[in-house]
Amino acid sequence: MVNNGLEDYAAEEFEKRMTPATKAALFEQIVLPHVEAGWNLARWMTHDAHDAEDVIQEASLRALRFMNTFRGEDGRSWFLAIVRNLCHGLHRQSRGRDKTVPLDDQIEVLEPTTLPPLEKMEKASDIHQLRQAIERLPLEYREALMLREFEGLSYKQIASVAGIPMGTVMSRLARGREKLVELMTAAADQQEGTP
Amino acid sequence: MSCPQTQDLVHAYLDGELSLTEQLNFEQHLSTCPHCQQAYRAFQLLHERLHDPALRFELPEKLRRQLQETSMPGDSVWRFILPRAFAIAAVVAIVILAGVSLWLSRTNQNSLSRELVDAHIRSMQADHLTDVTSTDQHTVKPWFDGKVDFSPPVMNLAAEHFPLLGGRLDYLRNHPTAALVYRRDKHLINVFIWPESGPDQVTNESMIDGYNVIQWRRAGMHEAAVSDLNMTELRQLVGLLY
Repeated sequence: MVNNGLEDYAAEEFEKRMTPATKAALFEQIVLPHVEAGWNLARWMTHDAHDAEDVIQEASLRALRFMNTFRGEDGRSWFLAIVRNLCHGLHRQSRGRDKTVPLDDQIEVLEPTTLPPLEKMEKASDIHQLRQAIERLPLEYREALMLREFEGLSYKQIASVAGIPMGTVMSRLARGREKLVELMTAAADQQEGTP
Repeated sequence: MSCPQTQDLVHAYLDGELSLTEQLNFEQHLSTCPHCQQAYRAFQLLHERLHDPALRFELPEKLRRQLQETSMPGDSVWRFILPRAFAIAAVVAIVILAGVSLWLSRTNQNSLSRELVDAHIRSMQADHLTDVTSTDQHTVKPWFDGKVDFSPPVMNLAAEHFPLLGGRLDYLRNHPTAALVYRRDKHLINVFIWPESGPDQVTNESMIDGYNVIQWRRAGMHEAAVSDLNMTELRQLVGLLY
């Protein structure tokens, strides 16, 4: 394994050799394979395609500018963290347009919840309802769910992308999934006309 | 009905995040707890719904081109020359820097996982799941004779609730591949096998587009299990095959 002395030396050598040509080549190898994942995340975490476009372009510029901070571990997590942080910045600016349900992150002791019966969930198969339900999730639940379900990141990776402890990853995933099931079956109920 | 102790563990279980001991404890609990069983089925169903490709946003072509040009200056002459210069510069930089070989093997690994998932999805389209349909390993194994230049290990694991459905000839990484099809409940699992030398070990676990992929090497064969089955149960299959 690389010890600290060797790692610092490598970082120095890295800085010396970071010509624009090198940066560009590394950008192509390290960032470009993950722009699709970044786009999907940005699209789900912002209000529309226009905002998502701003985010992904800004994220690419930052990735290029800070290429020397990438230590060769997990390119996808590194890039998605940049995208994620930009989405949160945008979200803070546009609080007024928030149509999400309230977040109950503050609840420390997790109350046991009762899920709707499975048959109800099986009926709620409309993709539009599912999409709307995801959009109504609080941003913090949505991002944990996207990173886990769409990107297959481990809890450890999600924790590093979102900058939160592992325990928070687990509770956000659990709450997010429960909320999603709740929203989906409520929408299905509404459609059927049952209370 | 509610279960305060383990209702959150069901998520870690589905996501393959529990240690072996925790897993066994949870499975034992699951067999006796209707609430957790319901939660397990509900979230497994949610997982399946969530990996509908209609939920993914595709990167528009114009935007992709713009992003590719992020690192390049605007002049059109440079756009032709620079990619080649970059490629050479990249090779030099890579050889010099320590630790980049790790990243190189990861990129290669990602594209293999992608190929495996694509092959898995293709096998489920139209009528092409199995070339030989039999639950009997003594029928499936010899079927591969003369079709591939190696003898794939075939086991029927019906007793462990992973029945063998049959086999198929496939082609991955420039090599004829034996594909064995297993089933767990409603989930299909493809196990791809081709010869590869190296020590016996699990080489990679990943998830792509909602499909779990586990790869390992055993007795001179590279094997890969691909399925939308949750990671924990897929690992159980791998444990039986390893």
